[in-house]
Amino acid sequence: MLRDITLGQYYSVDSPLHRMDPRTKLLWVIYYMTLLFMASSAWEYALIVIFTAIAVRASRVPLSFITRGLKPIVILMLFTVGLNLFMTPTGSELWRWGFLKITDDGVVIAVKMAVRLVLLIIGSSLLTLTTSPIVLTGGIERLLSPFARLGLPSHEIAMMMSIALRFIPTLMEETDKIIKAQTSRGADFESGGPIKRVRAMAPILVPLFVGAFRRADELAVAMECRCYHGGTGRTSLRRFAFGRDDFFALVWAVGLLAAIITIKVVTR
Amino acid sequence: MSVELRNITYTYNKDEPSARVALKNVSLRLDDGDFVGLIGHTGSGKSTLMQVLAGLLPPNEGELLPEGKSYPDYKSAARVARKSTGLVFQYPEHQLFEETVYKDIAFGPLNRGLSADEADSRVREAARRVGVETLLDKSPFDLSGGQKRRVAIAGVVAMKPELLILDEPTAGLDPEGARELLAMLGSLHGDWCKTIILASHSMEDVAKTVKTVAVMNGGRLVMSGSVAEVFSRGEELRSMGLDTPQISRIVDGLIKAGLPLRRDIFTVADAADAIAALMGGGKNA
Repeated sequence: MLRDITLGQYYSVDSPLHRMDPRTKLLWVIYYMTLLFMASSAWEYALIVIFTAIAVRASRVPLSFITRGLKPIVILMLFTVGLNLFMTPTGSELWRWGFLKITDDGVVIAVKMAVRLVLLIIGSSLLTLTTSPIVLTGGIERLLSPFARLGLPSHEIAMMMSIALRFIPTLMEETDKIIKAQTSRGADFESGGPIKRVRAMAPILVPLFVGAFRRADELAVAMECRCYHGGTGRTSLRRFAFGRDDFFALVWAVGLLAAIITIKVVTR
Repeated sequence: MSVELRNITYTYNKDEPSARVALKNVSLRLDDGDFVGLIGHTGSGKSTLMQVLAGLLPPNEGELLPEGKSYPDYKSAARVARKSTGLVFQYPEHQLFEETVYKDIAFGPLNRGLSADEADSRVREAARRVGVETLLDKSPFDLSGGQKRRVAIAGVVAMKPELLILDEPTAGLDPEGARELLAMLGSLHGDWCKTIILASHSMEDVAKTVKTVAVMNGGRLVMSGSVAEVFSRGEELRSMGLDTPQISRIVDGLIKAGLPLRRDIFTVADAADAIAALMGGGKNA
């Protein structure tokens, strides 16, 4: 059950997306999100869906692996879709029951919202699936480094992120083990009402937090022992360079923008 | 209670590039009264095997037969297995969570539906057997590492499982603590828990504690038999990155040097007796 969370999980294969510079991918994700929020007509959405499908294909990550990451947000999605579906006041009424009503505008907005959310998750998980955490945070550090002059601790932010990402699988493994251990002691996490279920979490959460603090403490000592003192004067093992794949990414970016503008102009 | 595993195969991260086979076609049978030591180097599948035995990990293939019976589906088999089995994970002290040692030990018995009175007597009995009866009112987070380990084991023992499974129970303990723990397990066997299986890296621990030994290598069960049978195959064990107890290596050396000693000596006490007998002395009581 815990294995279903793909966020922050690197899928190790070789593909053009994997070879790309992390900075390119980071900027691409921001760009992709902007485009997604700019899109308004069905044609634009269709275009972005096709583009996303091509990107998924190019990444060589199996689709089933990506869609698994969508499971945790299903509730959020149903909530958003439901809210838009029933609460949109404009448009012509299609169905009514008490204060609930569905309008044609509501349907359109709800569908758009659903598509937008799914694309958002797929787009951002493609980044973490094709970029190993260490490379990703390296990229973030470089992208943020111009702001260091303004007092932004870019190295420390990147270090914090890489440590957090590094510990996601460890803590998941630990949680899995604790759940099993407490199950073996007869703990029941699946039955009972909501209050009973929340209470049943204590045997998992307490050891998990104790363990997380213990690990943090050990890591801090280990880092001090190796004379870690932050980012000043620190060099990096990894050098990022703009390559052929990044050039293609740029071409795609320009192409996609041109296509969307064309659609906007034509359908206006 | 006997429990049986038939042709169990388990793969971690199945269908992913990081897939790793942990168990390959493993069959194992534990009968009432068995006291088994499971040895094998890191990554040989010991921990996975124990979780399958306890009904906590559904195998990809193969069947789990708790109480020697076959069940129509895995779910009901796992329920029976969980009820009659107590699993002490590696570093069990990482799972303590209650405010007091007493409450932590009582967690299992209360979950099993015992009344407060019954649970109370279970907690006190388990604490006495494990040697933590003076710590019952303390917070488990204030104890030393060895004490925490005992409290965590008491938490499982208090459920009075018919099959007690322990994964590296002596890992990280000092020699004295390890010795006491193993002696305690020996006293639990037969009287409190019918069947015990423990995984260990330490051949010495295994040799002096258990009755039979099972050896895992690369996800397969490669040997099983009495302590003497398994440890007499020293060459094979060494080829798997394992070893025989230090004292048997000394005895082997003495045999090679021409002394007429028996080959089935695996504890220091036996070796001392045998050597003393050879030198014409009496038993080293």
